[in-house]
Amino acid sequence: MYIIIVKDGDGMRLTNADVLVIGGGMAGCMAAKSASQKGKKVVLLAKNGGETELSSGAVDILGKLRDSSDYVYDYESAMAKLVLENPDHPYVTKKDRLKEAEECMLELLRAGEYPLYGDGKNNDLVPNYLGTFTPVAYLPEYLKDAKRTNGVRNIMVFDFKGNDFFNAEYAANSYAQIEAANGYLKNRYYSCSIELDEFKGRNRLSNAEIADFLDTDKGREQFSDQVKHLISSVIEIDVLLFAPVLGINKTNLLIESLREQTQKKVAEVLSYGTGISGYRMSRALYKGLEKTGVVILRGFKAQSIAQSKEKVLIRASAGVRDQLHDPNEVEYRCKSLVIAMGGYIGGGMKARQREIWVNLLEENLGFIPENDVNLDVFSNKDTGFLSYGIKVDDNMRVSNRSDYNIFACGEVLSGFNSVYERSGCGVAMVTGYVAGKKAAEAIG
Amino acid sequence: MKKFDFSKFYYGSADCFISNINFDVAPSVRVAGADVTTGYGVVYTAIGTRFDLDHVVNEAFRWSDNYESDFRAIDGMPIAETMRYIRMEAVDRGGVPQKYQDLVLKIKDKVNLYGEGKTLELGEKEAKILFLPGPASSLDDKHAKKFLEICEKNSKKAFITSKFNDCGYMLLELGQYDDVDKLKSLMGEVFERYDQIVTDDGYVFDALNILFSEFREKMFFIDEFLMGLEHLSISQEQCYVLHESGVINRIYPNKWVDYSEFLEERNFRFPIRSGFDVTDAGISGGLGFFDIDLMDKITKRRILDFELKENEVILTPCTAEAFALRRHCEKVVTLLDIV
Repeated sequence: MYIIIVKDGDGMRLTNADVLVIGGGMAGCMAAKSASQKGKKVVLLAKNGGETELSSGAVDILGKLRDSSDYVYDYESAMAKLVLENPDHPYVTKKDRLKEAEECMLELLRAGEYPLYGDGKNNDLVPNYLGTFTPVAYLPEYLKDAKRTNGVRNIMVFDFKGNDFFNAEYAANSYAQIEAANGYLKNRYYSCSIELDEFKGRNRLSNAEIADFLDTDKGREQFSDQVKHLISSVIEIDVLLFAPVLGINKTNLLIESLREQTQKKVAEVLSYGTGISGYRMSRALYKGLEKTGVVILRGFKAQSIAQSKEKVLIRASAGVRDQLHDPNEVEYRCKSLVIAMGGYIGGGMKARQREIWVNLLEENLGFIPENDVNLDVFSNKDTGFLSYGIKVDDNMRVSNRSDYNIFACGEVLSGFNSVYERSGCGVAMVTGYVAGKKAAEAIG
Repeated sequence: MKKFDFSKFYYGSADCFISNINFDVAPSVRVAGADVTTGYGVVYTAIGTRFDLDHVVNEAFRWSDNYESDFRAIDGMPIAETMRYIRMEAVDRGGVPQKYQDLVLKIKDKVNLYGEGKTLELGEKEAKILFLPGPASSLDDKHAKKFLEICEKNSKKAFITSKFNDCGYMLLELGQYDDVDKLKSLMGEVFERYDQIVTDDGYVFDALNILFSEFREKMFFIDEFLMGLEHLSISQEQCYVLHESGVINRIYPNKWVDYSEFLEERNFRFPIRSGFDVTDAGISGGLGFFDIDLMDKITKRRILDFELKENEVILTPCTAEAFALRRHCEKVVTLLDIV
């Protein structure tokens, strides 16, 4: 859904919103949702799905504590320790809003036909494509069979011949070794490769190509037949665990159908980056938001902001820009602005050599000192510079702009290291939720 | 037109080493496969090192511009621009692979890639509306006549010409900016005279906007133009599944129009992958002709997205897209077919 944009005399397009949110990932979508719950007219500028589009499609809230190699199981209790030791962490002031934010996110994703599974207190350990386990608070329903349980199960791990993104044999061995090393009750892992007729003789398959094929009737049929054939001649298998490529738009359909046909538990392993899972979640967030009346302007990128006491002006460019395509500029007026455009990867902050800038605010956050960089990637020590970001007050208002209605949330905030703590999605969720509410309340 | 700035391009493009994120999802790779070339990711390696660019030329000619990868280009360097640069280098250095050379010559000779047809000139030259049918719709005069008819019903006069073919779109895609400049001066003299310039081809619309940014306010894609008319009746006998224009969604999202203004809601629906996520039919304004097998694969896959029921047809505003879709599906109509 798009809005009708009013044209002014110079061809510039102008429009107004009560609350404008910049950033199309989890933080931005939560901010848009919570502001719209306050009855405000909300516009979301989404250049793309941000880090959420490249994520695992699951929700981590707190997976690890600093200086500890163990995963966090009870994230509610662990949070008390985290905030005690990290007084600048966004959870310090926002942990009490976590339950509200979780409810809001669950509702948003249910509306986007992407129901989540989780008890709201404990992490589940879920096997991932690297051959290790990831602690996550909420899983998409279609992945719930993947979580590690205490019962002993026979688990068959599948990869696709020609797809070097995921190696089932390696992963199965690795899962078993990790379980043994940690003294877990051991599951029995097996592995095999699927070779679909469609791809016979092919030697390199990308994730998207397989997933795209599995969205078709022909793909689903070939896949189901092949899986049924492969498990028919082996010992009784409890769980079928697949490479994270089971469709782009029709994953639920494929998994449900396979569960019904095989009467087994069926799931994918978790993925990141080049996987499809984050795309699914990102589009579900948009679908949910559109049902609430939020206007999403996809492919629009904020270029600059200017503020006064009464309003904020945002200049954005619409669509793909390159040397042939001049900026197709759009200007928005809003009463409140929420900045939710991510951290280093998402594009909100940039390191110019060792100097860190928040591009949109043109704010220099300072230099990265050497002792903030942890060169030992296998250590349990945090990498300090990843905690750099914008400082906000308790109401999520940007500290350096405290006279204006400019709020920030998500990974652009300072005080936490989403990568190390496995807290990126949780911080985005709760800070986005609060920032959206505060942005709406600020304008009455 | 302004010249290509290599240094601006180079540093952005050379930084894009996370190529799997960008390329994996593009239709050319997603549909045709990752193993049909040495891998599209090497395009960036070649640019970064300024070495062996000749070995990635095939990738550039086997490309279909798409939103999927461009919006994942982390350094803001659309892959469409990277591929355009490689094609430009190949043409300028005489390094176009033999199998593509005929088509490059045709483009430089401004031949209609979609087929043979007479140059159309209809209507009144003194009119205020200029309609530029895309190269696919100018193969016959059906759309041109329909356009005149609609204008007449709305007490408007129009002039129609196909003499500018694709208005330089494919020359732009080959980076042949000197040739484009010549064409631009010819077109500019004509365009000045009109208040509204309309086309039914998304790629022609793109070329017009690139070349005549000063006329942007008077450029209309066919759907926006039709929506602005007072008298317009649309056949509601069939149910339509809408194949939107990728150019509008990808490059000019603020030109997007709401089809529920045209069509009764019960009579149309969007397929999976629509709006921002729309996937083109592989023709890419003519780029698809460089590798027809690839275009056909992308088109066939796109047609599956529609999940057409018996009483449904595919509706697209873009006649170039319709041309590709019709190669594999009979149930395709354009906006001008149904008004």
